[in-house]
Amino acid sequence: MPQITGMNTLINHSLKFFFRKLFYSLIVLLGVITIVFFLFNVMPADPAKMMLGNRDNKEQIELINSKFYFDKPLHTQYLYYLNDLSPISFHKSPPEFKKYKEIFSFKSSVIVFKYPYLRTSFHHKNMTVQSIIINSLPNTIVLAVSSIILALLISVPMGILCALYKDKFLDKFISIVSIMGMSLPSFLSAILISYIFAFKFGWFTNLNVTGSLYIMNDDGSNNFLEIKNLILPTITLSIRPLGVLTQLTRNSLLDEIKSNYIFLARSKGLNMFSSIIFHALRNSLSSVVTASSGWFAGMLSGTVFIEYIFGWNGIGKLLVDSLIYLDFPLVMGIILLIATFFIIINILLDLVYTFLDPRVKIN
Amino acid sequence: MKIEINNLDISINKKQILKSAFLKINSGEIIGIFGDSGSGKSVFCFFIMGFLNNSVFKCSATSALFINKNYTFDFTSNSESLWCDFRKKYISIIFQDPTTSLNPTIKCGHQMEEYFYITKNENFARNKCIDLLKEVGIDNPKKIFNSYPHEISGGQKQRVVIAMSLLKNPKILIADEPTTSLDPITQRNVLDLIVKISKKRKLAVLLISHNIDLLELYCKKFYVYKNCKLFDFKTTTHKNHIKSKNLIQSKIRNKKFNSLFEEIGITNLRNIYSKNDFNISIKNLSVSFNKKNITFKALNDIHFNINSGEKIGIAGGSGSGKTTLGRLLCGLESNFSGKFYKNISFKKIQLVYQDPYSSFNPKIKINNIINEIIKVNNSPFSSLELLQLVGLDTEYLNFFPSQLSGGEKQRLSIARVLASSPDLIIFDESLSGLDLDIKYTILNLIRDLNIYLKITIIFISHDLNSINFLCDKVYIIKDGKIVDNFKTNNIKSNDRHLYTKKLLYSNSFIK
Repeated sequence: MPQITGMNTLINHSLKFFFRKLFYSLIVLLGVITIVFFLFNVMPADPAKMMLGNRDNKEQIELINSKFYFDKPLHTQYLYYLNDLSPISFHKSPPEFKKYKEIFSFKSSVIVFKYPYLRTSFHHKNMTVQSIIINSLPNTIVLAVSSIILALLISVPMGILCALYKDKFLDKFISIVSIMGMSLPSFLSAILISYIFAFKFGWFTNLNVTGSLYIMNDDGSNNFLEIKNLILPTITLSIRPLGVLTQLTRNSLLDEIKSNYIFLARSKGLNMFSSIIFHALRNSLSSVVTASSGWFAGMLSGTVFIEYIFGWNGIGKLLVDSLIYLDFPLVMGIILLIATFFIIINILLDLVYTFLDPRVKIN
Repeated sequence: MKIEINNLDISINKKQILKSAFLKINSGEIIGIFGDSGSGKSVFCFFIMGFLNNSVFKCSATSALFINKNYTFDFTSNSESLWCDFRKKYISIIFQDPTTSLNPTIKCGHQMEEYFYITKNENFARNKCIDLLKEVGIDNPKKIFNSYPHEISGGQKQRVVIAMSLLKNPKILIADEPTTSLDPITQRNVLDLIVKISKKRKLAVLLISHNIDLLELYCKKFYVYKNCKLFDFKTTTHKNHIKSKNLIQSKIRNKKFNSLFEEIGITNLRNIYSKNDFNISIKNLSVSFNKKNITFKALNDIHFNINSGEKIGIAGGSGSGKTTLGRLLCGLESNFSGKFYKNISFKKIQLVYQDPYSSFNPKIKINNIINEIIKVNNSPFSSLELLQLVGLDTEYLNFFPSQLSGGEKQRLSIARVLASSPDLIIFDESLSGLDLDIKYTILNLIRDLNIYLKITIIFISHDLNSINFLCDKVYIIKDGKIVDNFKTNNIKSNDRHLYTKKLLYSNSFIK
């Protein structure tokens, strides 16, 4: 049964690939945690005092210090933090998590299986980091996905047009526009776009100058979805990748068009346009996919300027705010999230490569 | 059907590529075009296929017509839709390099089937493709149909391309050096196939090559492309050109040497190049590669002996393991079993690669390329001397590699190898892409290196003629085994192995 064994080896390979990637990503995450943790503790600031503000007194400071382990030596704090993050953790007394499963207990010490615990925020009183992140994560994901889709939907056809009309007027025009788009800083384009389309022509477009994906009722009772607020940030965010991806598509297509297989396809009677669509495009997409995955990961980790200017409650805005208040658990949580995004996108990228090019094998 | 082209001019940026060319092809004829590499034969092919970018190339002709019954097509037409229509029905092309002429991401069969989608005639498409694959001599057409191009061999790829070109049942087939990058036995098979198909289908073939023997064997008549002109088979230029080429060919066959060193007067170099005697012996040696749990033996239990001062040839088809042997001798292959004895350091063994285009860093000047090696090895000579030695103009020191022609590049790679003052040089298919006259002079250069500098030579090639010219001793490799070894004087003896005879036959293109 050769086919079945072939299938088995394929699954075997994929599993091996997956576990190896998982192992590497855990190492990457550990490195990120370590570096950020120690960097944060180098900073000359007292989080306990910052939390209490003007109302600090000695007892309260000591209380907070013992609650958040600030009185312990640095390496102990680090181990405690890792213990909290790890899905399998050790505790001297039954822990306070909502959900956990006991694996092993001895006297009052237990080893438990749980979700990674990111602790509670210093700044936002009594809110867990998880709940804060979950509040703004959907905003960022929606914005990033819509921007990258918009960029790809426009840039790939533009690149094809450029390649088709190489050195003609259309090619030069699109190239100039895309280079302008590439070099436009996002804070400037954000201000320009919100000024023109929401302020000047607001009467016509009916768009808001600022606003997040969910906005609150006037009486603060209910959150509701406001899709139209997505339009302007999406356009702004996609301008730069649009320029880059257009040029990339054009150049890699022009490389492919010179190949013999394109001439062979044309000798079958395909015209230039169809031979680009059916033959050259797929082979030239790998560089476009690489570049756009980089942009996408960058967008997921937050785009501070755009989120600030449009008042979009995203990860980038959250990160900057938490840095200002030295809110260590929140910063750490966001950075871990960003690192995880990058890792996931890289794994997906490898899979996309194998789909695009049969010569690339998962190995 | 016939093609008639009169007074065709092609120019690029006011530089003439083709001047007042005439060409006539009738159905069923095999017409050849002979020209040196880089002379612009391919431009002519592209003109007939309509692939020339008409904003760069300027083409004009008094008449350039394809006539088939009621259908007439003008080659100087600018209309893309007319061209597509013409290509769809009447004309096909086969390129030199089968590895690049198939789309790497689409299965061979789907690339063939595509033609039926283009013509909107999808009935029995798959069966017709498989029948055609069978016709071009593929044993397991269904498997090839479902394979990606990287999964099949070069010869099979070229057959797939031929099958693809036959789908439309064309009137004319253009073959642009269709076999140059294939190994000799496959080469012969593919050419025989084209002739067979041409006879069976009354197909006109325009065969373009730089191999004059091949054209003389396969074509009814052929044109010579020289100095931007196509010379008819009756003109004296045509005859003289052929004569001079044949002269060189016979010089190679009959071992007529023409020493470059004697010509420029470098005959006493032994003082600079004091060579050490050495000996390499290989016994029961095997090299195997593991790929997906399947062990592939590149070399299988070989015996081999090299003494200093020898000229040894290694011949075999592609995939026979001759490159692995070359790499092994340079110390690039460490995964072997068996006995490998040598009293010479790997530093003194150098390799000259097949492709002179990709073996140089294009951003470094020639002077620096050579000086780098001289510095590393503390060699007692300058880059200027080395260029003179290999017969290159000393002006070239300030050039970049891309400014040299293929033959000059190969001379340069010899100079670079000499810079480390080696005792043994291995030439791995180093001359296979070169024209006959350039090949002849470089073969002589290599011989000079052996005679005047006492450098030991190992010449790996599939071209038995060159090996016969250069070497004293030949090893024939097939499937990782040495099947035959002999002195070149005995090359035509009747005791030769069957495979040797086959190689000789496919090398010679003699009726």
